[in-house]
Amino acid sequence: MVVNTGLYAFNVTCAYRQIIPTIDSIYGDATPPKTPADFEIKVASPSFARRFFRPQVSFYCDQHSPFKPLPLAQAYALLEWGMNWCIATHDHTQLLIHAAVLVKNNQAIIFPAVPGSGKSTLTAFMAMSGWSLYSDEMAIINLDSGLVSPLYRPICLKNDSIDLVKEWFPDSIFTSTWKDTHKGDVAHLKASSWKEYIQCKPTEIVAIVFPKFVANSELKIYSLNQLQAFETLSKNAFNYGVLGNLGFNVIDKIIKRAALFEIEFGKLGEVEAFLLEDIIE
Amino acid sequence: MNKYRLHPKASNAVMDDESGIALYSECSGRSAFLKNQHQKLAIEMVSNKLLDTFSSIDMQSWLNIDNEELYKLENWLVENKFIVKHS
Repeated sequence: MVVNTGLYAFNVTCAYRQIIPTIDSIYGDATPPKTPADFEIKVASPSFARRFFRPQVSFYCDQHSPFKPLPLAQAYALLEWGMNWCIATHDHTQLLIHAAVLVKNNQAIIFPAVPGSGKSTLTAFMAMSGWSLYSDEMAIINLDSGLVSPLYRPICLKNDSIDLVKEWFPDSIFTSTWKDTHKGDVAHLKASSWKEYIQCKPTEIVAIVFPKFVANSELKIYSLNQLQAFETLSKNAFNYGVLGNLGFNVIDKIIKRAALFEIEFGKLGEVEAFLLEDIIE
Repeated sequence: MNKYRLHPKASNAVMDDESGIALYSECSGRSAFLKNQHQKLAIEMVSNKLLDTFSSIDMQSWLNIDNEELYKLENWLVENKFIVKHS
């Protein structure tokens, strides 16, 4: 089957039929791509014995398997992580930053963050509250224009945030929860439809916000200077080292156009109010 | 006193908000982020002088660092092909 994420298409071979309904629930409404798939990927057992004895699955891109095998129950999560890996390690025609991207009124805000910073919970909240979801994982930035492009992918939520988001948005579409992965419990949220996705166009980045969740904290906003933002953004880029000068120049362009903040937050509503009042026109 | 100029394969980006200067060396693949300590004056000096030559004393003044730090920084910038000694 072909999974169309908009910018990239994956030809997926699954040795286990069990994950096909999940793939279908997340990507099934996307139209088939008009070009051949960019990646040939497979989720299959690493060995004959592992089909039966404590069943495991491995992710393959062509013949290469970049990760250790995982329990069969985590096959879908492995597929999603594998797709991230394919993009991050192969597309060097654009700058790829580990960041969420949300858009309002044709203005993009990117949220680069380290794991545990609350990025995905924030992304889920905003995407389900009327913002356009461009990505939960990766800001894909054109090297010439500095515009950020949308990617049709779900949001990967972990641990407590899964139940929280389910409680806030009871009608939301979730995959099952994959228990005890190396990231804890994981579930994927379909936060936009293909119909919504195709309305999204490459967009100007108006702000870069580095979020940090601190339980029960009131919203604290710190201005970042351009040099701090440059350094942090380059460290969050997957392919900055590969792009060399091109990556350097596009980061320079972005940070000089965008508002730059670091925020500490405990309540998601306060973050949204700040973004709407102080950044989005 | 050592005199330097930017390495021919190094790029520089002076920050508009005068927070400093970012350098990228195509030879070493490394980036350097030099924080400005003397606000506008230093930025003007950096942006003008980097195109030409500058001395250790210029660098010390821009970055407000002591002799030991300056010595380490000079060596690091030279080793990683951000700057070259100007004869």
